[in-house]
Amino acid sequence: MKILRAVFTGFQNRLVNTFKLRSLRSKFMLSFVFLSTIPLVILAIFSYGVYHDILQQNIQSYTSEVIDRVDRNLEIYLSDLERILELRNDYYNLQFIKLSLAGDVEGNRKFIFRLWENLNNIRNFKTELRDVSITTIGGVTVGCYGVTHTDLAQNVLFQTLANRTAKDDSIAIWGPHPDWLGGPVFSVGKAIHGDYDNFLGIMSIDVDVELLERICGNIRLGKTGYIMLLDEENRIIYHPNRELIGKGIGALLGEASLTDWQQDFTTKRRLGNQIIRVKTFAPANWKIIGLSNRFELATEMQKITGLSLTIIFSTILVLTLMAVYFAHLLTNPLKELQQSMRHASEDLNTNVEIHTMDEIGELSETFNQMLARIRQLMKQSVQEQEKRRRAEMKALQEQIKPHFIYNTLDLIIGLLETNKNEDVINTVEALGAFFRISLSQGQELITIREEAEHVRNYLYIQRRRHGDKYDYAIEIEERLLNKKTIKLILQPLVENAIYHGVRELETPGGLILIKGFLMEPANTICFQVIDNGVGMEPAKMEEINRCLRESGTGQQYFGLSNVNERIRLAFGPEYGLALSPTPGGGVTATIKLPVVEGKG
Amino acid sequence: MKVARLFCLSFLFLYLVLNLPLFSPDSRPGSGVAAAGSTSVSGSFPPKARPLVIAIVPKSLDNPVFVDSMETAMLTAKELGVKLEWVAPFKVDPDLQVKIIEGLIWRKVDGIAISTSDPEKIRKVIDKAVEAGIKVATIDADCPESKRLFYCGTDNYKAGWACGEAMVKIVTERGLAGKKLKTAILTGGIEAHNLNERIRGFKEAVAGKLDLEYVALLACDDDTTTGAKMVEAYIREHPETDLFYFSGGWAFFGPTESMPLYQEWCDNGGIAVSMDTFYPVLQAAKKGFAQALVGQDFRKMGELTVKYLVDAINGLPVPMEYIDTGLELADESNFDLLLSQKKPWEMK
Repeated sequence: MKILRAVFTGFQNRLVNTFKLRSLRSKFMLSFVFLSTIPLVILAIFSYGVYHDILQQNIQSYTSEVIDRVDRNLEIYLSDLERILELRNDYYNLQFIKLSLAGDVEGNRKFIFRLWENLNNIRNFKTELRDVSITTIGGVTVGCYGVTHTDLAQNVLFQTLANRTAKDDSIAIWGPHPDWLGGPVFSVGKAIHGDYDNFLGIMSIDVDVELLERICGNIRLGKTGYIMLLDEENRIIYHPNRELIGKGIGALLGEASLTDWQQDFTTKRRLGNQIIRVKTFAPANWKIIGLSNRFELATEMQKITGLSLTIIFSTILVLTLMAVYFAHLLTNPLKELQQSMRHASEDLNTNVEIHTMDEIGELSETFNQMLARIRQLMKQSVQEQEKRRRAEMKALQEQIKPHFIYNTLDLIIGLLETNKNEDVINTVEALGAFFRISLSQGQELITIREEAEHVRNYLYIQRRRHGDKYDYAIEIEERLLNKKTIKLILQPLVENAIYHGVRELETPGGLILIKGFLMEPANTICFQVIDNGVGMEPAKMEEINRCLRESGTGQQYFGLSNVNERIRLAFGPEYGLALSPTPGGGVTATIKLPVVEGKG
Repeated sequence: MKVARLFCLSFLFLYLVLNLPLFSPDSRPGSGVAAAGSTSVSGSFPPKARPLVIAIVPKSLDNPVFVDSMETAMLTAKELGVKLEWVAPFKVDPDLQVKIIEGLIWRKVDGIAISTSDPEKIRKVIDKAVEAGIKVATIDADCPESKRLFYCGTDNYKAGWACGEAMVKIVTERGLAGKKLKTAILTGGIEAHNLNERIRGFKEAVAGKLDLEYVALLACDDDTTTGAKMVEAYIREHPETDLFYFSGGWAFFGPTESMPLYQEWCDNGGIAVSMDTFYPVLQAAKKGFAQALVGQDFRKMGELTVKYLVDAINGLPVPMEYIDTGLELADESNFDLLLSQKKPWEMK
């Protein structure tokens, strides 16, 4: 499996490198053409093989059929002649033979005259019959053209029949040979026997070889294939080319081909372009040979191949054009989308034009939605940044309240008047540290240590101002001190705890406790500013909390809202500020912050 | 004379030796099948040492007039030790006759006698045979201006003249000599020289003696049945005909019962003179189908033709170029006598 995958990957890489398939369009086109062409080529190759076999089989079976038909036609013709030859024992025939052998010229004249008439009538039965004759053992022949003398020693038909026994009543065939008028004929004959089975002569029919032309001449095996006939000495007795008639078959097809032509239906392929089938016409021991041209088969196959290749190449061309068209159809929206995205990377106000309702259309729409969302978010972000800056400025402004500064300066003056120099130094140091941390060199995030220090300085200054009316404590887990928080979030809460909590107590004993701890499961840092002051009406507390939940809804409770707003802007709505009553009186302000690791 | 005979015999011997299969290029057995369609073929009938072969080619086989000639020709041939072949188209067919003669030339027969059915067509092949060294004669019907050695047969002009004289005699006896008489003629083949000569002789014999109007020339191509039918049909259409001249006796070779209208015409005074004195013609004449007959001697024709052809082949001289076999005149006075001397044909 791994090997297969490796091979496939290799092939894929080579394909990609060879055809430089960098674009989706070329991949699509190549895949489309490949997928459509490969089945076509396989089909063409398979069809070629099958068609070739079928064609060859058809040629052979057609040739065999044709040879059979020729064989049948010859047999039918021969059986007709055999029936005619049954007239050989006619009274006039026998009388003629007997009187002729006896040398009775005067007695024979009426039989001769009658025989001429009869034999001519028989000849007129069939157009191919050249002569019908009776030949006696005395060499006298009476036929359609009169009375002639036959050299019996030269007459193969006569000799064949003479050498047979009286019981052998079958026909004999001789020829083709020239008849006495010079025309080529083949002769069919039967023996005539006397009363004591003594051989008296023969009755024979000369058939014009035109018959063979009539039987075989119209037969064509393909365009150039044909039928030819050989006699028992392998001489051509019928061939469409008349010049070859009478010649040996060896001259035409090679001597070597003659040896095993004794069996019926032998297919020979060794003669180059010809497919040859042979059948022996048994009565005459002739061979019927069908020659088909293999070249024609090849030509036929070339035609098929040409047609197949034309179809394949046309199909490939059409498919390629279609592939180009479809690729264009599919990739153009993608290209447009790509360009739109490139524009969008420079100008978010761009929108993709949607032309189709397909996946690419949907993708374009989604991209447009994404762009809209990005624009919205950016706008929101800009607004939030603005809001944050404003909130920060407000927070800073809150820090630098003139009366806080005046009061602190009055405190310092008072301390100077009372020569409490040590306290002055401490107070001035606290004030300086307070403002230094407030500004924090413009940084938004400071360490919790710095935030704690900032609120401690504030409380120091305020306590110096308000005397021992309340006390404070800061309990922040050591592990949190280096974590980061947005600045100036504890001071406004402490200020509220002082002014609306412990300072309102009628008796001393107020306490402001600032706790900082990590809520482990939620991984959230929690600050609590707990006072045991006069507390707050539950309804009011509920209203403040509602204002804090619905961030930015009111301008009341500015200090608390600003802290809450800044936390939410920085870390999200799940963080922020909430108030709760302190058990036993007072208010607890709780801040939740994410854990933000400080650098180093 | 003795020296001449010795020379002839030596020549014959030399000829036969040269034609032995051993010396003949055509004598090889199975020397091949001829190219189809070609008339010139290498033979499987090679000439070799054999008796002389003489072929007689009548106009047709179906005409029984030649039967007597065939019989005497065969007997003469037998007597002379030569082989006689009797070959012809079954029915008159000059083209086929030419083909048959060409076949004989190819087979190198020693002599040919031809009854010419169409001199124009036959002349060339006669000359061809002569050029091939074959002795050629004509029998019954001559082929003038050909290279044939001799003609043996009737002097057809004389035969026609005799018919004409017989006609004049009968018409005069009936007292019709001064009248214009419508005359029809039945002949065999229009082109046959012998028949045309007979017609010419007939016409010239009656000229100036009778006032004949020749109203029809009917040609039956030597066919007996056709001859009878044509005469019967003509009489049906033209019963007003006065005279009938038959240049051959074809119409009377068959049964006379097939010609009732003609018989009626004869009974009503129609006058007919016919060539041929064969047995059936005599029988018909005796019934009144013809008042006079002029016969040919076909037996002599066969006999003399063979004899002189053999002589010619053997180098002996032929007594004359025109061998007249003579005429036989018949009328009511000798019909019975002649019938008693002749044999019925018994062939049809």
